[in-house]
Amino acid sequence: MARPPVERSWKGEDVAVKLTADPTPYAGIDLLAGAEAYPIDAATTPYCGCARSFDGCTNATPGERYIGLMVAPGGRRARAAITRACILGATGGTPTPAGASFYDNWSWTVSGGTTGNDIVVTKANGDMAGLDFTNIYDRAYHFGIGNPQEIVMTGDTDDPAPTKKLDRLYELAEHASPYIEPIYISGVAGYSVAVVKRTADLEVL
Amino acid sequence: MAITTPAGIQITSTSGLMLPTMGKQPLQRALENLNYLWKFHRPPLVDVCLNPSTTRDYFVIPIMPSADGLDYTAVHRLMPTNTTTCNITIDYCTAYTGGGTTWHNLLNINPATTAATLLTRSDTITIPSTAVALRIYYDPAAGTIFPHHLLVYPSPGDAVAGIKAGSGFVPFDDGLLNGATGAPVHTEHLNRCKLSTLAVLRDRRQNCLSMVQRDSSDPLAKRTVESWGGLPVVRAFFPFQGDTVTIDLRVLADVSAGGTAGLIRVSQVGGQAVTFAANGAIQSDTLTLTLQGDGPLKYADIEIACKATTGHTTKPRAIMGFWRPTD
Repeated sequence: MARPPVERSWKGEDVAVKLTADPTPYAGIDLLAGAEAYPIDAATTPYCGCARSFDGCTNATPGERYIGLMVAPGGRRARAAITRACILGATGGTPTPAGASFYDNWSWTVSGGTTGNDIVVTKANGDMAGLDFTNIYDRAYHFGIGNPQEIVMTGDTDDPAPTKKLDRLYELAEHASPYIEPIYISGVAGYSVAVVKRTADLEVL
Repeated sequence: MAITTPAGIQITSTSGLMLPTMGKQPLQRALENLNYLWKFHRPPLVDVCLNPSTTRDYFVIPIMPSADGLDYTAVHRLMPTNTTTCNITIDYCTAYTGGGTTWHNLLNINPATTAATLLTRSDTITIPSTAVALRIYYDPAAGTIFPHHLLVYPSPGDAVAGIKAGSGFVPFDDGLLNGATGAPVHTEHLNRCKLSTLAVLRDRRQNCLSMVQRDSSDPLAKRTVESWGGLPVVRAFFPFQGDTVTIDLRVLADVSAGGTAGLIRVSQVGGQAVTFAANGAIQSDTLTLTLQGDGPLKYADIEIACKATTGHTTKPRAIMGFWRPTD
């Protein structure tokens, strides 16, 4: 019988409250399993996804970032929240060239592959769809942006062997101890990552 | 008697928990997992994409380190323009007073760089429990260097005997449990699974919000307008947590001149907001976030905003948020 990781909230857990205050408790499965679960759940619950605010989308800095993501044991797939921000082009309305977008975001993890079809391409959409991005590199990261901005989640399609560039889940490595997953992301004003799929059976980590 | 630290989390099968009596296993594995947790619970204390301006920038990063004075690993990701060397220093302080701050050095290295090739550099630093900020400095011998990311995470050695006075963590020594066959199991063993786990979880705060700009001269993003202006909104994830979480905020900002009160604001979109002075000191407060989404995608969208007084400039240097599980 597989043992999957559990979904555990730590909210309200009290370090002052013992698991059992009975000096001679009944040696039941519940008590033992409850005690045994604490360190395992703590180890395998994904770390919080840090909301990183930074300039990766203006002419003041390179439009790309290399990031190290700390992944808790059992992480398997992830999605990112991409913050996009831009300043409208003077003419507005029509992408140049027609049908194209200058605001696709490219990203990858080393575990998923860094080149060719392995690159995750998140197309411009939402508020960013159909805009003229002629002046996209014109100070989109500043206080009082007031212009189009949006948070877009990378795709939830699980395809570790894509035959074309897809907006899909990030692949991670499944380990029994934490590790750092190198990640690349282009053209964003903010970035965070959530581990959304974990190993199906902790026993095989 | 031995204090054993497993290299990976030890998993007991579901059927392994269904034992007729409470022998030393699987309890011993569970307790050894506490030692594992001590060594391998590694939520980032600092997870920052820095906002430099040109080159040779200082960055001051407020922190809330472990109360146990742990070893941490600092991982820099840097992109140089030249094949040369780059001096990297990390200092800490226990009281931040701007230019008069007394800094203590943790790291001073000069790794070689290759032009237009990512440099990933990892070093161990020991951060005292009393530290309130780190200062990072990148100084290439030639050309410029662009710091992409800084990750600082706890990386202590194996658990050793003795209660940790800071966190309250108690390691596991198998002396009592691994003695005579049929010896009694002390309920403290069971309680320790919970209490030492929570001690580690709560002691190692997780960086959940970061925005850090250079500490010298004008930062990249600043404000001269007297009304609130926000940076693009960013999203923080709190997987599997409840309806709300409360985070600790540390804010460092200053002004060109004039008043400083209430010039920085951190808020949840559609939720609470707290304001901070931009007075050149590290300010602190808490913010309760009402989470949206489900399961691993529980999240809160956060805006960092700023305003200025007439004729002056407000300069945010660092806005850091830390989450402590159970809060």
